[in-house]
Amino acid sequence: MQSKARRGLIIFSLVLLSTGSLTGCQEIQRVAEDAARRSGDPRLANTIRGGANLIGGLLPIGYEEEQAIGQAIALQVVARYGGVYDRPDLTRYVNLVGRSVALTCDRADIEYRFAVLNHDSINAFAAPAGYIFLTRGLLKTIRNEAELAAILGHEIGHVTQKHILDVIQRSKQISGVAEAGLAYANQNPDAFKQVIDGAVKKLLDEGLDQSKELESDRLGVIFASRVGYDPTAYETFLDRLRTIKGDDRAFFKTHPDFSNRISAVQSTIREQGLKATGSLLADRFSRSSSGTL
Amino acid sequence: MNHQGAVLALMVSSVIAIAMTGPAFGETLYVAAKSAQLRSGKTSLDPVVAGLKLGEPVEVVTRDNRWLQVQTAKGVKGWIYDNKVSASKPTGGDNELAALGRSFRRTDASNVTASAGARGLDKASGDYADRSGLTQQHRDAVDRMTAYKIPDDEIQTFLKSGRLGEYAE
Repeated sequence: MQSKARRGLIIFSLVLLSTGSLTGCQEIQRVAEDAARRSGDPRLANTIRGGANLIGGLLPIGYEEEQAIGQAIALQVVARYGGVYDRPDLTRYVNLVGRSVALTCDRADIEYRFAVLNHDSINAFAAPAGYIFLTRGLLKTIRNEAELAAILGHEIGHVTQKHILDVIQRSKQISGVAEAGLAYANQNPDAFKQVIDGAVKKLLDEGLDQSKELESDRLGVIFASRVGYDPTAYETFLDRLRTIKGDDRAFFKTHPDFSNRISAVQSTIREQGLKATGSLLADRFSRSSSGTL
Repeated sequence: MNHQGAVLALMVSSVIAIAMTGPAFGETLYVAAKSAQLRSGKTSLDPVVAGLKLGEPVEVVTRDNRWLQVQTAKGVKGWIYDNKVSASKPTGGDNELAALGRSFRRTDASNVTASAGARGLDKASGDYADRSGLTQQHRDAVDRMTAYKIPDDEIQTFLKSGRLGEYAE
């Protein structure tokens, strides 16, 4: 009977815990867990821990956690794409363009950092918490600053929409480790590695869902346009990419086909009433990148 | 048309009117840019009368093309370029639900050194680099990337020289 009463108290504690009282929920969880342990019921204690972890796994990832995840993914991107192309003037220029776009994006309160990867492929990546990369090969195909701004805007869009975090939270396979999920991962380096490796595989090998890519295309053109860059530049860029990539199957494994992307951009420009400002800044782009690529 | 129909029609037409004219007099907008200046006139050459913080509410007084005259909560009036405000309050990097999630997940915030602006990978990603056999060179690259700073005034100079944002007009 006493045990029943204790169990009732524990269940009551768990209910409190799950109803979202922000302060002290950790304490309540600990008290409940300790009470269960003391009562000689380690299984119940584990259930309480597991339950709390499960709730934790369903709740959004906070910025500090996002930074740890972003940094770890960034490490893999750098390692797999030839390291960072270390040209201070070029790094500064790409960061000036990227940060100009980030300044008025939909998530302007976090830091965004941009780096060029020493790789000939044509690609760009965004890791959580604003770690954004583009390859030297991609920079070579860009003709003006407005194109660069929209490409960086696309990557910023992945960060504002927390696309990778969404992948991590949705995929049980990635967050794995039974009921522990991301919870356990932050305390356990092996589980953290599993989470990161899974996210890297999705980002670099399998690609994000096409709907996420299209959403980022739309946001990229909106964010760049907000700064005053000509939104039609991104259309021109995608069209050039279509010519270059042709039927590159490896690329289409990770991205929607260009016709879809171009029409999504066109309809965004139309629906949002984005103005063709004529601001392409081709000279500044070629001055800042020429001789360095 | 009955009474309800008239009210409905009025509501619909009001919504359409608001949608067509953009921010209306008295409407509350929020600063959506990381740094924003309130100026005494509607050009980027006019003196700055106040610096505004991200998420700060302002009330619209009037609009002229892409410049809005607004009033802050403290009663300061000035002009702001419309790419720096939004009708919805920015949600930001973190919110209460995320904080709640973090507390369930028991992450120790003190493990994260990067958020304080200090150099160095945070503990979890540092451990990850060790376990994945990543080279010091790659760790240094991400470390430098994390610490890379450009002051806001240099970004403003960059925008100005490209005649972008509020410097376009």
